[in-house]
Amino acid sequence: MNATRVDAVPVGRTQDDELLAALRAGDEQAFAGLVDRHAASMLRLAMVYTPSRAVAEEAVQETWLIVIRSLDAFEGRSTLKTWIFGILVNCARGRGVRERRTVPFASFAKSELAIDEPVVSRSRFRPDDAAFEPGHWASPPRRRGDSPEWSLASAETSALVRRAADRLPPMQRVVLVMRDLEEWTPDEVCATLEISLGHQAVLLHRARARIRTDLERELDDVPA
Amino acid sequence: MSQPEEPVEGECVVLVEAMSAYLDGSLPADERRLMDTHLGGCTGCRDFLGQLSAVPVAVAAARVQELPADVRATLLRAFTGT
Repeated sequence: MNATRVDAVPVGRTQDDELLAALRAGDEQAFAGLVDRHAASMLRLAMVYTPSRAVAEEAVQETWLIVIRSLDAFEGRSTLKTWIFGILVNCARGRGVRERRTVPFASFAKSELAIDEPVVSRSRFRPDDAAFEPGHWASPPRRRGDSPEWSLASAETSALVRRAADRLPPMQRVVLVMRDLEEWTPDEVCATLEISLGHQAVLLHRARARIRTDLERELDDVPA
Repeated sequence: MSQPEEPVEGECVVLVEAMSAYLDGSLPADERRLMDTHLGGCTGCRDFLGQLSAVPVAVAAARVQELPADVRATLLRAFTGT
């Protein structure tokens, strides 16, 4: 265990210990409960990397088989959830690419983040040296976020969001799914992907902002 | 975003970079107050924030996916070694 981690053992960790003991003892109900708790989420996450549902299901199965095999070796340095999902994203990535190289997520994140990507095109703001209101909106959004056109109940908007999410670069896509679809905490995302909180935050913001830009283009006819 | 010498009016081009952090409640208190003040007087940023906040809600709505029963059964058999 990491000696620099202070605080009492988090509740999740105690539950983990009991669950782990039950799993190692072959408790079927414990395993079934664990599968039920995480399976849907694992499938959604796997589909970030492999749009084919069949291949995503394979990745989920493969993950659980690895989990079963590795239960005894699990050292409890992370939560069970982080450990399981860490295996999952690697399985899903391995199936989603033609070459099966595995690049650490941190490297992937760094290369995505190395590219400067303002969340709104600079051309939509007044220049920094403008005499009047430098840096303020020159071409603001045309519609309010709560306008009917942006209504999320609309099947059209949902489809647009899904398509826009599919176009995201991989690290942005996985962070978006973890945070906004699976509602993980920033810490859980960082522990699973082994990236920093700062990187995680930037990736999430860029993902959401790209989707907003796409929606604006489709719904409000505003060029990026 | 940590430029305390910036005027309260702020610059939209800079503030939009902090909008997710603002939305998620992870901005430090002083920056959140700056943002609150700015949003009170800037419809461009207010509308941008509104549009941005529509995205996580739309993403969350995509939650579907269940594991097929036969897959679940297969996994249970693998676990019990039968």
